[in-house]
Amino acid sequence: MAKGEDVRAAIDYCYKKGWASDGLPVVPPTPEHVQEFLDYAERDPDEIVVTMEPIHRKCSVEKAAINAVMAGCLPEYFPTILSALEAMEDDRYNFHGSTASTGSCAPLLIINGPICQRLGVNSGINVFGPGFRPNATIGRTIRLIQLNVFGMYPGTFDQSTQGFPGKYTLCIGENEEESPWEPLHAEKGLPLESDAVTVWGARSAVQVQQRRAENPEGVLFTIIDTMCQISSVQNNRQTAVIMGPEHANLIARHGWSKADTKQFLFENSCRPIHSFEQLPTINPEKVNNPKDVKGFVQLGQTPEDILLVVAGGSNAGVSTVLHPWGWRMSSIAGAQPPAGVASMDYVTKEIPKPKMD
Amino acid sequence: MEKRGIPTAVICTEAFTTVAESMAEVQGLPNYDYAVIPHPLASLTDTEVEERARFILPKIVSLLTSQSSPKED
Repeated sequence: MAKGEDVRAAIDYCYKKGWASDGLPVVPPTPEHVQEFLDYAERDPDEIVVTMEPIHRKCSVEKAAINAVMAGCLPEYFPTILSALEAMEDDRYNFHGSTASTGSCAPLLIINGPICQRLGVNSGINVFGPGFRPNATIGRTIRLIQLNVFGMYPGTFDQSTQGFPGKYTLCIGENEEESPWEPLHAEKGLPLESDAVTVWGARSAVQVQQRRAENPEGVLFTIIDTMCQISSVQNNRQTAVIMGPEHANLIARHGWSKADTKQFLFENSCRPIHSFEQLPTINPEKVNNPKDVKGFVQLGQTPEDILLVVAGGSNAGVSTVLHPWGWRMSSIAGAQPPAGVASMDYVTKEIPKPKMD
Repeated sequence: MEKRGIPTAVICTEAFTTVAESMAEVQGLPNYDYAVIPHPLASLTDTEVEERARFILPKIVSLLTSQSSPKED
């Protein structure tokens, strides 16, 4: 056993080397500890999983493992981290742009499938809060990789104007047990019994309380009110609605499917054009969203611009709206966004099942 | 673009000089010269944008026409 002063010296050494780059202490990464992660995932340590082309930097499986150790993960979390990084490598996610931007983006990770039970990923009470090792350390690993591997430090390459607490970790499970609807990964075409992780860039999280509603409209118009802040509506935006099970089950009891709910949210998330005319510095003609004949500006372009997930406890009528980091350019006729545009789309990736011994 | 022989002028506002210099270093051009205009930009009227453009024009011409882009001291 290491002596107390050795433990403290090792932690201090990691601070001195700059590895505790989110400000919290890290687990000192020994080669043996890192090897356990590499053995578990059975991947080539030199294989590149994610890149940031504009700054010519890459993250290998080994570097990801070192940061997973430092973040406090268990080896069995590592395949989820690799799948999340591979999802971020997808151009639709915009890995470099979202990390560099003034828009203060935090990577949101949503985990689906039996893996939530296996690893103990929290999807219930306090789902966005602390207390659960997978949620705390899987999300933290992604952030440590952005900092330690890619050098995205605040003030240089990370220009986040204000940041947000989700940048420590923002990782949740979907509460599939208490959801009345098909889970996110099944909606995206993966088998129900598969494990999956979805990544998306979040700008902020706002809780929506509605404990008195007796019908779907009462819940959904309350959520829409939070979705439709001016700063989101003035550009094409996706929105993540993390609906509490109580809200979801109330809506489902009235016979509404998940698709019905997304359609309602999409159709009604709009602001009247005059709400822009009240702002002296915003020219309504420069609002980037389509305007319909009735003088409303839509938030999204299709019901697929609503990322609807059920999570949280079944103890109150509470949901959360996550406002998006990026514009929604990539949905326009399936076209790729022009270079330099802060576009963002969510990406779902299957997590390989552990090998049976 | 500069590396491919296309004359290039980078313009950024005062708020982004740190990131511009970090990026120049990553690209292997630590002394890369660029044009700096006052911040902010997004909230300006069209007329104010034109004023900024006129203000920085001589610098852009110099960046595009000089042989290399060493930083002026």
